[in-house]
Amino acid sequence: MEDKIIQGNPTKSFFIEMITRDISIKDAILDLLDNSIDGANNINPGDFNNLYIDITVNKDCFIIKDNCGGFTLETAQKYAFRFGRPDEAPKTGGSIGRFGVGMKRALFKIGQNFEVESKNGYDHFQVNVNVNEWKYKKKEIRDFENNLIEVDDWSFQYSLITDETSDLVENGTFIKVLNLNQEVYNIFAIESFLIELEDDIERLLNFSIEKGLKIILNGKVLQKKGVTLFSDNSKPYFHEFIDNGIKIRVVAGLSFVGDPHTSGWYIYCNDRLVLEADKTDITGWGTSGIPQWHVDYVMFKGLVFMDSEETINLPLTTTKKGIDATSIVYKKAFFFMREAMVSVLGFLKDVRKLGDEANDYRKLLGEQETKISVQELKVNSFESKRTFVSPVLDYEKISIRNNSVRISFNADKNLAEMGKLHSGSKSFKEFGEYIFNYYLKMEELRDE
Amino acid sequence: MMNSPKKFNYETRPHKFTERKMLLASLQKICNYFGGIYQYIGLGGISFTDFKLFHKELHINELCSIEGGKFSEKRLHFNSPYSFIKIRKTISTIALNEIDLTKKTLIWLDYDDTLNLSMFDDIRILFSKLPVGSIYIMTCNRELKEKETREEYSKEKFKDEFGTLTPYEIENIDFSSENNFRTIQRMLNSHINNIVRERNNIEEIKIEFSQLYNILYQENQGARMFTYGGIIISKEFRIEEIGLEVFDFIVDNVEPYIIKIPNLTRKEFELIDSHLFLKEEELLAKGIVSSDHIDQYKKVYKYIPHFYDIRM
Repeated sequence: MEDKIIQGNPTKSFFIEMITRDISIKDAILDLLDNSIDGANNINPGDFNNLYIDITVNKDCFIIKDNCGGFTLETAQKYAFRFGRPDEAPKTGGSIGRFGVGMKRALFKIGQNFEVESKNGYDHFQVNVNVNEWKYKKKEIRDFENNLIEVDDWSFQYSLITDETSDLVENGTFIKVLNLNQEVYNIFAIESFLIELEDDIERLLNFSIEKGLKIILNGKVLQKKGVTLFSDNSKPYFHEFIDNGIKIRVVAGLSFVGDPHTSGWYIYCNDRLVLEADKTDITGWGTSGIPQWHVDYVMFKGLVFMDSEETINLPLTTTKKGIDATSIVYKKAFFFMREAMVSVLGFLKDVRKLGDEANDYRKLLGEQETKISVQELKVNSFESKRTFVSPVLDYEKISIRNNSVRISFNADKNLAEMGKLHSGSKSFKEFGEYIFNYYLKMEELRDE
Repeated sequence: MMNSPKKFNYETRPHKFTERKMLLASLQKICNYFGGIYQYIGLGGISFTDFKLFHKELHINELCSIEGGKFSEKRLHFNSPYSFIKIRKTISTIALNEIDLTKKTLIWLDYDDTLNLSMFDDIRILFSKLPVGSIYIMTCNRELKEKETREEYSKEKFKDEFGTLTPYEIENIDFSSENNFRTIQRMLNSHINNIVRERNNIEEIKIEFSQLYNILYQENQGARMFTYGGIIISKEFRIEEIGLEVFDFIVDNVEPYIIKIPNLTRKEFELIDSHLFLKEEELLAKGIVSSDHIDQYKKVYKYIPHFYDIRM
């Protein structure tokens, strides 16, 4: 019988031109940062102090340099430069790169020439790639009838290097991309791109910065940014469980009225923020009796932390933006997310009943409550098990607030200190009140 | 939900009274079967009728009344019959978050309102936690009308309000008074079953919700009410074991049990009593009561109240 074969193997242009469309330039850069952070995790998962990632972005080149340990030649040969992660690949150990697509996709996305240098204590090598040459690179093999045929050559060449030609002193990775793709060149030329990238890194990688990792973007050291929840009069909903080797923690409660963009659900996979301020049905809004997001619910914030040694089990998508909502583990977390939402939104629906005073009340709560940072929410244990304790709606406080104004002024520091001491006030605030009452008394303005 | 006692004293509503006695009769069997200690959660208002009844008849000592209406805290405490009733003056969704729902619970959320989303919120909170043997009962006004216009919902308006809780196949006629209770029953049933299914994906012990109550009644000239409820059982449990078949008001499907007390005098009631079951043909031949009267009476006679005027 004649063999009827249709070739199913991929083409190189599919990887160069198609899969790069699914990802934004910012996310491609974040993918590279994730690789560095994976390296940092291998050194010491709990402490990133003395580790750095230095990023340089300009219209001529893109450079990323870290001292996060680098990777071995064996890793490069078996995984890092392979397309897709082989099934026999070792456990990923709490990392975030796992599909075997991130680094290549990012580099193809950014430019036409790239070099990747790695130093790890055993090997020191460099891979240079001219994407256009690589795309057309062929090799000859013999088919089953021993005829010479030409096929795509997917291999990359590496060279071992010495310290003289090295960009690295410590163990780490150095990546440089030249000959930027046109759209990347255009974007890198826009100043606001740097501000957006800075903001993305500070939000999405806040846990790594918290652990001491220094991330430098064009010479500027970036700070961490993260959400907070109120705790004091209210107690956040909290539940933690382990499923299939994944530790899952769901926390939800109230936060500042402020910016509606920050309300919603936040999902972290191995400390990487993958879904941010979500207000869609993916996190339960508008499903099963839970309302669509509305500005009345602006105080709602929920966080889900999923951590696993085996990254492939996490419900990540390849772009690390969003979540695989059909995964079994996410469905389990979803049950508790819905329970949390119903509880917190129940309270916020009641706040709405305050009518004109609702907003003042929301602001007042923000002033009164203790704030817990996302880092604390990740590790602290909470009393409230699967319940959200609402703050008591205090109508009295609201009306007092409505009948008062705030008086403030600047004064000479030395004189103010002297006055504070002389009046026996414990704080400038108290001294201010003392002055006000003193004036009223002296001018006989208040009926005793 | 909270202002009904102002309109009518709960304790003298004969249909409500009858329903309460029916529930009690079945609850005695259920609580007895499952044994152990139950807590009771209800919307006690200022009359606490069900609290008094369940404390005395079911021996439930842990009682919690949720009251979100405008009654003052002082008035609520003054009217509470027992000092050990915990009163939570807040809306049910908030209050349920403050109560330990991992205990075996009897809960009767006797809302006066028409169907609204917070009732589904309460269901989610309850069915995410309540253990096997717990009993959930809710009562609401069964009208499906828009709040502002007081007109029956249209399909579109209903979907706007209830979103994905809306049954997939629904027509405008499903909001009419002939059908609204079926629509509500379908929605409650499907919401509960969805949550139970989600929960079964998570927990070791697989549970099921078994519907027991699907009751309609209307107080004279008053609101048309709908009561729905059932019990949480483990999946392998056979509900027949409880022996509820002796009660004809136990309904596990969509067709409701209708409580209607026939409009008869005391003498006529006594006449029916003395002919019931064995001498019904003889009774009809007298031409005093109709066969409809007899049928209605048979459904309720064990539970109806008899009011007498007394001088104090």
